[in-house]
Amino acid sequence: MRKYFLVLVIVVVMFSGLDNLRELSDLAIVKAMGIDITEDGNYRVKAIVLDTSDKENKEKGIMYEAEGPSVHEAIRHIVDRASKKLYIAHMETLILSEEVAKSRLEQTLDFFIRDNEGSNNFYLFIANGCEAKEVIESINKEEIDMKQMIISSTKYRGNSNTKTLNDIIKDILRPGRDILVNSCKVEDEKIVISNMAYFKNWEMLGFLPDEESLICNIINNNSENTIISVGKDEDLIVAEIIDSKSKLELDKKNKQIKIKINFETNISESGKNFLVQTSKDTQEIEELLKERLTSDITNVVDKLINVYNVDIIGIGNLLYRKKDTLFEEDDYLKKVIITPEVTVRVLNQGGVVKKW
Amino acid sequence: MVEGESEKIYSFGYSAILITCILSVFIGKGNYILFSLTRNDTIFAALIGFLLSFITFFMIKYIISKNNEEDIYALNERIFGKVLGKAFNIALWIGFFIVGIVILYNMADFFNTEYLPETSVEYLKILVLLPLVYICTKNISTVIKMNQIFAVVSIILVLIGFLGIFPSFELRNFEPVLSSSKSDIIKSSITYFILSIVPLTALLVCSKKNIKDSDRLNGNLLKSFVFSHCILIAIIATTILTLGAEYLNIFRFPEYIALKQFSLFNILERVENILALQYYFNCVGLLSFLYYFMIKLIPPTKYKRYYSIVIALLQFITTKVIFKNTVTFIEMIEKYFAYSVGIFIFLPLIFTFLKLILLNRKKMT
Repeated sequence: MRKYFLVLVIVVVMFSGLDNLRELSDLAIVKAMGIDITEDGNYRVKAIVLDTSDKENKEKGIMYEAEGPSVHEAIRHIVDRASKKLYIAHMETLILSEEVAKSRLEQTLDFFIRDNEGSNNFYLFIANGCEAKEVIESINKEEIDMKQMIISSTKYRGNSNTKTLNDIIKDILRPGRDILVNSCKVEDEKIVISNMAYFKNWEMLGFLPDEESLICNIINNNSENTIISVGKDEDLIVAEIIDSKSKLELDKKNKQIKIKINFETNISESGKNFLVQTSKDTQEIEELLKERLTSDITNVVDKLINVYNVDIIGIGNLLYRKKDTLFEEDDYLKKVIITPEVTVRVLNQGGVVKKW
Repeated sequence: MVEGESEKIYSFGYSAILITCILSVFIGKGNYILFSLTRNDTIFAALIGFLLSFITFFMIKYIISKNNEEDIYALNERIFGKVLGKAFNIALWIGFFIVGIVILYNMADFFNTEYLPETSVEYLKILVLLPLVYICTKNISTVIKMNQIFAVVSIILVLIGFLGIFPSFELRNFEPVLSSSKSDIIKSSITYFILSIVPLTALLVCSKKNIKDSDRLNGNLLKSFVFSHCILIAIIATTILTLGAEYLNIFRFPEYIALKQFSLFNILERVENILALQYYFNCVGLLSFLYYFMIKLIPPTKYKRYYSIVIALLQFITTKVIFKNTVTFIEMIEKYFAYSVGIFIFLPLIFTFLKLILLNRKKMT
């Protein structure tokens, strides 16, 4: 009996057809990928593949480009050039052209969602005013780490976010929620993080200005650190927001949604007229910052609803989660009263207690 | 298979079977059915189903306590007579055979979808069946010891999984609370209850006399039963909290997709394939037990050691004939799996239970 089994096991292992076996040297490990639509409506995929050859200078990746009627076919056509199948499990960045984002986002991302090798933990960017191909070429030329770039931008500027494809799909699928996606552009052959693209139902509608992206990220708890200033010259006060926590609260009875945000700040610059010596001074600055932030939030929310007609901050999703019937109405965004409630705390004046 | 003294087992190992068996019945198939019915409300359906499953637990406990000498087959033949008893036993056999083919195909499908898409499902089935056939040539104590080891490994992997996925939890994913219709929640709870019958009934393949420390059996069974359901409900909650109602519903194996979010201190990532091994262990554990259950019904002959090969071949052919592809498989498990378990396993069990009560009442009077 044992002999038979031994023979069976050997046969199965030897001839099992575990066709997925691939040596490391057979993998074309993709670092970044860009997807455009060509004039004849095909997908054009440009990918940076890690150079696994024995060459000395191999920091730059090898670029491959191919076209096809679908994303999968375009990616597979690269085999003709690279002699290897693309391995996207370690891909960090996916750049989509505006055209893809406007008309074929759902179809394009479907391939990545279904692909069993990838974990969908990569960052998605929309190429702002250029082709995805140009961005990919620039990434490779300048040897840019897009992952680090977006992490730093989110951490220190707040006008972008670190949502991966998984998070983006989760948000798109949530009822009553529109999304923001990072974008980048090529300026003087260098990559620059650009205004965030806003989407409604899988369709990109445009790019939000910088300040509006920042406020949206603050409301959505996607931003922790940024700089805010009030006044000019001698009345200038600059504060670094070191932490912010936002929460949406629904008052079902009055059809009111409160955006409660707590900011913790440090003073990083001040004009001559400001002395940060007593608690009264701090209170005065806190009040000024609060006024500024409240007005910014009110303006941005108003614009999102009345100008862009998108629900980036998830008002609809809150109504849906709290089972409010208002959500079933098409113009729920215009029927609900949104009021920001901001609290600002100045924690530190930068170690300077007297004017120098 | 060697009967008698070598089949002596301990109550701890015997109870630990519940962990591997309950997890394997639900992960990848049972949970899929529940999620497609009640999405984020599956957690409530699972809790209700868990409470309902105590009914089966006490039925099984009653059957075990009132019957010291026989396994379920012998018991059925004794209390119902040869013909009716055999009919119930065959029904049970068919029920376990159905569960076996569902688990076998689902496991091969999982490996094919998530690990080895270019490898034939048939090869994957053979790879799963080979160790099973070998295990079933051994006696019940080997099967139980193997399950005991698998249960420990599974629990460790599940706990590591919880630890790594915890940062991805979003409490709002539970909302809107109770948005599914009442009928869907009831349907989902009943499905949970019916599927949880399989592991419990499988326990009846051993008679109480084979358990060395049978005085501790009740306590160990209860602990194991509650613990395995707690782990299962925690897995359901984790999947909902990580993926959310809308996202989890687009995937065939949502628990595996949730594992993809695993990140331990941003250092240890992409280990979902290792963590998902617990699914393999649980399935092999349950299948080995089911095979043992099925083999026991066939009268022993000189070809007894080939029975497991015959059953494995039957399962291989049946899965190939019935489940043409993943889509037909999903359709069939959604439509018929719970009903098959209910008709072929739960109904005979109810009859056995009721008959035993009647007999005991008669005895007392």
